[in-house]
Formats: sequence, structure tokens, C-alpha cells
Amino acid sequence: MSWSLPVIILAAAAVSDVWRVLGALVSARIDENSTAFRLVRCIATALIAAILARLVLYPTGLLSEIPASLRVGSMAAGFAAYWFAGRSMVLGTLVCEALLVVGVWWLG
Amino acid sequence: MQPSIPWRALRATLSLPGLVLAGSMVGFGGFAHDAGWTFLDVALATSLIWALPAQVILIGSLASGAGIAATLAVVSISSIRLLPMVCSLLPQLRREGTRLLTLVAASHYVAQTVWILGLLNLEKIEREERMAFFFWMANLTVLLSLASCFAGYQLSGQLPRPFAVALLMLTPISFLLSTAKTATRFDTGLAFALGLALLPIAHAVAPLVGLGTWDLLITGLIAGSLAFTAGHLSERRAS
Repeated sequence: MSWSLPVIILAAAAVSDVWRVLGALVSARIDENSTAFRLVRCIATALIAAILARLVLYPTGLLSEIPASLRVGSMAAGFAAYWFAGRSMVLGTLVCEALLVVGVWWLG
Repeated sequence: MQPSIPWRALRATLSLPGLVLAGSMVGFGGFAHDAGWTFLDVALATSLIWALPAQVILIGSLASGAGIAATLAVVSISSIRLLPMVCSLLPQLRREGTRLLTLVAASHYVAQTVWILGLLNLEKIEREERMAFFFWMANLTVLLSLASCFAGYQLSGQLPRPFAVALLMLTPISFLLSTAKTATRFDTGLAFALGLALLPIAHAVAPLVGLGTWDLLITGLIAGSLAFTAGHLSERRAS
């Protein structure tokens, strides 16, 4: 890898901003509910699911040192809490994090 | 008398979506620290890329040894979703004589949270003042995010282990819950579920066919297209 990290970050910013600039150029002439944009939205949503699944299932760094069952279990518990508390993001996050802290502390 | 524009922008930034973003940015700061980034890298990524999924992909892909081409490809594809967001927000900002350069500058700030804050607040602002309001609100949101990244970055090295782990988990749990909250249509909800289910399969299979580090892209394209097709077919049947 011969690129330095700041250069890679600049490149990543450029390949993201391309879509925004394109949006600004065509914004007057495009229907945001068109079929093509629905496909874009589906792929973007699936990509976010894929990122979070990879972060939880195949982490690097400190997260990789704790058992997969604890990572997946705390996420599932957080989601269940979110769901049954009437889609409360705050409660879901708190339950996930609390379970994780207790679990890691318990395992030492 | 109406409160001033900067004040109204600050109030918008500090509403629930802005605070949820701040929490996610604390997690991102910790994640970047754990991956060995300097804070300058973190600040560059947050202010210039300004799209958390793209930033997380960047860190995660590089950390897992993916090449630059594969990484930039996924980053860019994760950001195509910004195009329709820009398209739906800019018409609310522009008025007679707004320069294209101003619109392009405004488009740089469009990401999930700023987009939602724009949709929630712009209607209530006089059209002549909307652009000023938007730049205040967007820049304040960037500042809040940078401060949150800094907090997460600093905390990361100093927290006891259970809390350091919890800090790193903020990114995936916030992605899980915020996407569950926004993916309410049949097709996006299905795309989300399929993305979760297919990633382990793609992760296992991709290396066997020589596409080792392309698991994210493969999952996103297949799960997204399947869900889109299923949604399209079910709508055609219903009509």
C-alpha cells in the first residue's frame, strides 16, 4: 500500500462528493421517487446492513477479543428492546451497551 | 420577534437527530483510535467525507486488508444514496438567482442527519433566509460531530476495558437501530434483512472465487437488487 492515509481519505471524499455534485447539477430535473432511486436506496440499505454485520461478526482490534456470542447477543437484545419499547433508539442502545459492559466485566 | 437564524440553526442541530449523530460520532472516534488513526485523519474524514457509513467502510476495509480500489469502490457506492437526498433538499433551498456554486457547496453537507434536519426545519423558515439557515445548521452539525469524534478518540485510550468495548459497539448498534427506523418500506426493510443474512455467506464464499475483500459490495448489490425486485413485483401484483 503506497498511498498515505490522508491521500486515501481525500480520495474517499472525492468519490463520495461526486454523487452530491451530480445531485446539485440535476436536482431540478429528477424525480426522487423514480424506480432507479428506489434501487439505489435498496442497495444503500443492504450495504449498511452488510457493514454492521461485518463489524459485529468479523471485527478487528479490541472488539475481536470478546466472544462473538456476546457481540451478537448484545446487538440482538438491543434490537429487541428497541422494538418492544415502541422503536426507541435510546433504550435499544442503552440495553445493548449495558449488556456488553456487564458481559465483558463478567468474563474479565 | 423571531429568534435569529444562527440561534434557530443551533436549536435544530441540538434536536434528537443531531444528538443521535453526536453519539454515533463518539463511537466513530473510538473506532478510528482503535484502528490506529491519528486525530487529524479522523477530522479530515469527518469534515470531508461527511457520511458515516462511508467513513466506517473506509476504516473497516483498510483494517481488514482490502485494497484501495475495492475500498474506494464500496465507499463510492455507499454514497450514491446521497444523490436523491440532494435532489430532494436543494429545491427547498434555491430561489431566483441562487448560484450553482452555492448549491454545489450546500450539497457537500447533505448526509443522512443534515438531510433529515433540513426536511424537518426548512419549511418553517422564510425562503430568503433558508440558505443562511442551512449553512449555519450544517456547519454547526459538523462542529458538533468533530467535538464528538474528539471525545470518543480521547476516551478510547483511557476507558476501562468493558467501556472501551461498549464505545466500539456504538457504531454497529447505531447503524442497526437508525436503519431499522428509516427502512420502513417493504423493499428497504427486506434489503436490510437480506444484507444482514447474506454478509456471512459472502464473507465465506468471496475468497473461494478470488474476490476476498469484496464481500461488502457483493452483499450490497445482491441483497439490494433482490429486495428491490421483490418490492417491484409485489407492487405490480397489488395494482
